[in-house]
Amino acid sequence: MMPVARAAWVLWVAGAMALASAGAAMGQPKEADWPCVQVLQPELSVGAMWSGPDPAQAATTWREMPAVMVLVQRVAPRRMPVDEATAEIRRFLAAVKDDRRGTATQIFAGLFESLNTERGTIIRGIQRYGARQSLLAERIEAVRRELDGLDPKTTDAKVRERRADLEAQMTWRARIFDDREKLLPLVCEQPAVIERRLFALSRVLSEELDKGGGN
Amino acid sequence: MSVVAKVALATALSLTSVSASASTAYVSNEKSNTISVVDLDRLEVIQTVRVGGRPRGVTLSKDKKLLYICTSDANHVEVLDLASLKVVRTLPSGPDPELFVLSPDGRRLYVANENNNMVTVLDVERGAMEAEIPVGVEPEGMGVSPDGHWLVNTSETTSMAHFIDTKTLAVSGSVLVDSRPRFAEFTPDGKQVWVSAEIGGTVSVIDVATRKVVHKITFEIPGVRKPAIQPVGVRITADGKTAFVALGPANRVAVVDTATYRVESYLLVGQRVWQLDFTPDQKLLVSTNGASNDISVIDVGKRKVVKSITVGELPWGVAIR
Repeated sequence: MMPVARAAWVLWVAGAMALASAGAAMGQPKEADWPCVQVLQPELSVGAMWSGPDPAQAATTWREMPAVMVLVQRVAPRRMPVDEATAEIRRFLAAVKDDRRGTATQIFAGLFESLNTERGTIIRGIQRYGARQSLLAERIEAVRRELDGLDPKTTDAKVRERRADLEAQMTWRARIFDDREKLLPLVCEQPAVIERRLFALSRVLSEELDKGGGN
Repeated sequence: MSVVAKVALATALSLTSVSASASTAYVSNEKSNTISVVDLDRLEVIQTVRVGGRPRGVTLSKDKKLLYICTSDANHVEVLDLASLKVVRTLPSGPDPELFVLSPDGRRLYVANENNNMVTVLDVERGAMEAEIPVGVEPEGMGVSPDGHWLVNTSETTSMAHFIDTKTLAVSGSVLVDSRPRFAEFTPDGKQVWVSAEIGGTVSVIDVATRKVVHKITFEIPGVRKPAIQPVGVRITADGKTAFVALGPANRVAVVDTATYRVESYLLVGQRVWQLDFTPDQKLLVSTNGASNDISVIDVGKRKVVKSITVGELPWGVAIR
């Protein structure tokens, strides 16, 4: 497991990248901007998470059930450990007297929508992150080219000043680039972290379905 | 009786009904560098054994007393004694061994070396390499016919199944299949070999005598995007009637009628389901689920997942005795 502080920082970066969305100068992120080794999978599949009752209808109605909505809002966010979220879901369903299967399906629909949306937002953020890194790399390259064209042994004060300015820019930009690059593996892991969370919670709901009762 | 007591009793009964086999599963955990020993009677991990770097393919010796392990990063095969659970021997394998198959007489291991495009033939008793056979790029899947005559190797990048005559140790023919073939499994009568293609999303059924693809099985799961359906491990029941196909990130195992090639059901197991193995009595099938770090135990008769059990990180291969 990664340390909590580091995890929080990664989440913050991914979140910040995600929030700096519409209106960004770079426009819509493209698939080519995907900087991760992981295969880009923009959306999750319901069928890869769930083999219970068809959740199509629940997907439109889960928000109308206040208790389900409150539960989903509590257990979906990653700040709640999976074990705690699991226990909450089990407690919630144990108290359901009628239509436990229907309720479990509603919860699944709610979790799927919430976590798939969050994951999508993070993916777009990572794409913007990738696009910015490409842009930064281009700028570093431009500075380097300009520096190469300036004689290092010059006695011209203006040229020397320009060289010093470019060298400072280069150092600074390279540092930002490297720092971001180091963070990339952890940032790139976030979509999978969400996918794992959704799968784990969906499995809990499936187990509760199989237990029957509550009807 | 209270509902809770009834549920507890029902669970206890269902556990008893599947426990007759009393088998043990050995699961390689690619990232943890361990083998999880799973009691399929109690449905829990009873021991974890540390082995060499990046263990992937695993298979049992003919007498079932030893487990051969492709420790890919250690560039050799390790031999785990199952009585003491100690690595008692290492065998040369060529670089980066990923998957292998034992000859039916138990004397040879045929090893796929992912990095140097070779199949290594290993004499198990002497612990020596007999031959290296050049095949396609990125060899992976390995299947051997029940009579031991034909070895089929799949190459991921070349997208071919190579037929190797084990008498001459030379490739005698190759069959083009779909993109990134991962696994080759012979039917028990030796007449067909089933080859899964991870990117192509299909299983090609090849007639061994004519070397022709006689059928291509495709998969469609409601609510699952097509690119997520990535066939990998394949196992066919001893009576030859039913095939099970692990579908990678679709998180499902397909159950296929071998007579009609029809997919009868898709069992939801764990994330990125990779390899499969039966218990010796064929009552249970175990799948390794790489991304959810667990294995799923499937009741073959009922076609139902009995339980998922957490193992190490990135479970890859499984062998059961």
